[in-house]
Amino acid sequence: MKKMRIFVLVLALALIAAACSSDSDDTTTTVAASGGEETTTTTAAASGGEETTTTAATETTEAPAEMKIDFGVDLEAGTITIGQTADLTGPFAPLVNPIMAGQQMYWAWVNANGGIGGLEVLMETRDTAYQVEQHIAAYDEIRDQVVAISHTTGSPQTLAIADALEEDSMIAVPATWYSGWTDTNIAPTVLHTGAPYCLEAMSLLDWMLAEEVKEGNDAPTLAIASIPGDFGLDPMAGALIWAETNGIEVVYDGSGTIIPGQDLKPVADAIVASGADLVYVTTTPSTFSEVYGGALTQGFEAKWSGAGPTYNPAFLVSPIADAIQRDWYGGFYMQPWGGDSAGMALTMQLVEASGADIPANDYVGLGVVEAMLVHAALQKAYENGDMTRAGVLAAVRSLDNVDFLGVAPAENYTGSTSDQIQRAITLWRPSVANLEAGGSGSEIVETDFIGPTAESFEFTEACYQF
Amino acid sequence: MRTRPRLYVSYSSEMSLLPTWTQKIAAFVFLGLLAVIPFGVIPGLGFLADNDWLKILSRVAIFAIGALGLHILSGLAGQVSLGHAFFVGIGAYTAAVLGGEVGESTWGLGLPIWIWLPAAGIVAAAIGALIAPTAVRVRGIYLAIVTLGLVFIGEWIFRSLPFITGGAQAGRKFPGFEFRIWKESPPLLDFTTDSSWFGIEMTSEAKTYLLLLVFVVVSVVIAKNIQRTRIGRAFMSIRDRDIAAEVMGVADAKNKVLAFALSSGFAGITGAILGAFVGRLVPEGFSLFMSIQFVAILLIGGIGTVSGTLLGSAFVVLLPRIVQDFTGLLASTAESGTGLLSWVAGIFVSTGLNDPGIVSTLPGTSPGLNVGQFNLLLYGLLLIGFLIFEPLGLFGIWIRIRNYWKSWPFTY
Repeated sequence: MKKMRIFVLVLALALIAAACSSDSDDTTTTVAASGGEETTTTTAAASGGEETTTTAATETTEAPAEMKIDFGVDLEAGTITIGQTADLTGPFAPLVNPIMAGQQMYWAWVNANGGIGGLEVLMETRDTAYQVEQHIAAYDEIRDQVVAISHTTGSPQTLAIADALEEDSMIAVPATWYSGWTDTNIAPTVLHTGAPYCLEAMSLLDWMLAEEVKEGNDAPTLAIASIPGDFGLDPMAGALIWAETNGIEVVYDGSGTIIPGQDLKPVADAIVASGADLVYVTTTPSTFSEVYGGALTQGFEAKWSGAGPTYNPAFLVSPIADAIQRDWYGGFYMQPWGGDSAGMALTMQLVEASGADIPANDYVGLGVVEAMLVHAALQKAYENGDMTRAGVLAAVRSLDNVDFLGVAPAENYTGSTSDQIQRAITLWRPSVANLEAGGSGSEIVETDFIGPTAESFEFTEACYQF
Repeated sequence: MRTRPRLYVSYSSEMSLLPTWTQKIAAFVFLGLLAVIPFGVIPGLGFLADNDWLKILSRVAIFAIGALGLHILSGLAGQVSLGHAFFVGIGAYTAAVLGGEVGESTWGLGLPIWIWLPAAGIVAAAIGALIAPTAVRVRGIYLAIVTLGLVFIGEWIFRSLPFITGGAQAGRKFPGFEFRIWKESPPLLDFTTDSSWFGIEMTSEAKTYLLLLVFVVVSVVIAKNIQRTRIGRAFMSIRDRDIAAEVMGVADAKNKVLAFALSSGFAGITGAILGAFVGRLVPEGFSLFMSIQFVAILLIGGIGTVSGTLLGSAFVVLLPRIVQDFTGLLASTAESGTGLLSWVAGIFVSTGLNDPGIVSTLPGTSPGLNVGQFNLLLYGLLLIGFLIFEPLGLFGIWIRIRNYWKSWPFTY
């Protein structure tokens, strides 16, 4: 029934378009990029002021005379619906809820500034509880209602819907940094943002090694431990490559040994027993605090780090605050809260303007970045006059420089796997002082950091393969 | 006289599957309605023919089959089990190994469905029978603990066998619903792609739904037949008092083992179907939560009855979707209109950043629980509520409604 309605609508629009465009060809023009040969797509204009901030594209784009649509775009109602399969109640809920908040604020702002060619963007969010089966069911529920997935939590979960996404030509922005998302052979419709886990691990360990060397320890040892699956094993693959490249001894390899819900003392004990100087752990925030706490109570001291989602900003208001401040070397795929960029200024402005009682949180910005990418894709598809799911996919695959206003490194979605790989991360340290000053507790050390090992690593396929 | 309800003139008529004409007609009409759902011809319920609803209804069917298994063990034989998910897992992985394709690190024989589907049931039943003697030695809460252990052991085993399960947090692909004679031969019946059947265009969702409907009907007939024959009566006598049953000549241990085996067989089939339906499962899926879901189905539906089990499956699977849609409806009521209805809806949902409410439609920003959290809360409350106020479950409510109208307008 719905398909029939859309079909009739498209047909009617096509007829109107044909009637209108009979005298001139000019009405079908889409705006060419301003930067010469290189297509530069700007997601949002610089935030000059609250009133004047509008999306660059909406200012300059003329509506195409003919618009192809299939799912999730209703020209009659003037809406575009995008979906989110998000872990709102599972282990990553503390991180994903702020991401959703960021997306809501961003889209509310886009809509208030004319939407995408006058079309209002609506969100259709489903809870997945970080369960693969529930994730699949959630996707099945919304797949026919949406034109794109602007957030999908979890590597195994996203992998489980990857075939369906490909079948639907549905673009999806994963809140997971599995290196396979950049590998075009694995999930061609899933779009990476930021450096993948394995390169993040290399850069972070490069940084920690440099710190150790500064402190006079030229040959530190490394212990690694993680949750099973690609979320845990991709960073571990990176850490092992790093150790081999730099000739560092791995004194404990606990890849895949952290099982949520089970006794984690053996893992903590093994890390302590190894006496490592550097520890690289990747797991859920709650299990990390168990492992870290277990090692801490035994008086163990080392430099700790792990893939971004392992850390929860709430650690700084917990009993481990002092220790984590001393031990944790943080990395993030974009600028944490308070970063110096137009994109972060926009994020902070959105939070302030919303009036919502949201504490400063790094993940709100991530939600904005995810939404910016989908915005760029939809905008391009709109300009192309093809807002079908396949049209949106084709649009995003023509973007070779998506600019996130500096809040996250610019991304390329064209060309081969090695062309698309992102290597830059932001380095930061936990800071109670920063938190007390109204920040998120993440004190930025360096933005756009690429460690020497990450820089020289030749990336042609996913670090961890199934 | 013959047409009077509840007047049975022979034992066989009392024991028949559908004893009265009313039941016969109602059952066939209901089944007919279920069968035409994918064609969207039922007035007012046309939306059920949408692919997303067909998938949810298919899920109801899958859980109904699993719950019927637990109904045999817990409802009829009175053996409390929290280990149902373990047997679902056994069935799923039997199907995966026999029917699945060889992966980079996973085993798979690529055999056709007529081998892997029955095998999933048989293997699970065999393992159930193997474990049963241990479980038979304990009763009640102790049995619950023994079977609870089974779930944990199972989860560990599944995680530790990556060549079978694909490994923790990764999972593997499962064989789909394709009927073929042998491995590589072209499928005779393919439920995984859209195609035309007898001149009617059918989506894969519609075909899968109809297939699962057939599976449920077969399972219901089997469960009913077990219930109304010697085996079922033996089970029920054990449930009501096992010592008394043994005194009367009902072999206690033998029947308990049989109940375990039958129940596990159903669970195994459920696992195989679930794998084929979902396409990819991770070992963590066969957890205590899944077992509890099956127990919840029995408790909410009404323990000891097939109809209750079916009602419970529908309720438990549909609940999250109903809450989701209902919240959406309330949100739009609260946003669009004025008047009392909108005001009441406004109290319930929170639609704005600073709009208080119980359920938030903007997770992360507006106050209140998100829909997922609200679902969990509701689930818990319903379980408690049913246990305290309506131990017979939805079936009990139905009985009361029926009895009220039977004697209407009299209240006695």
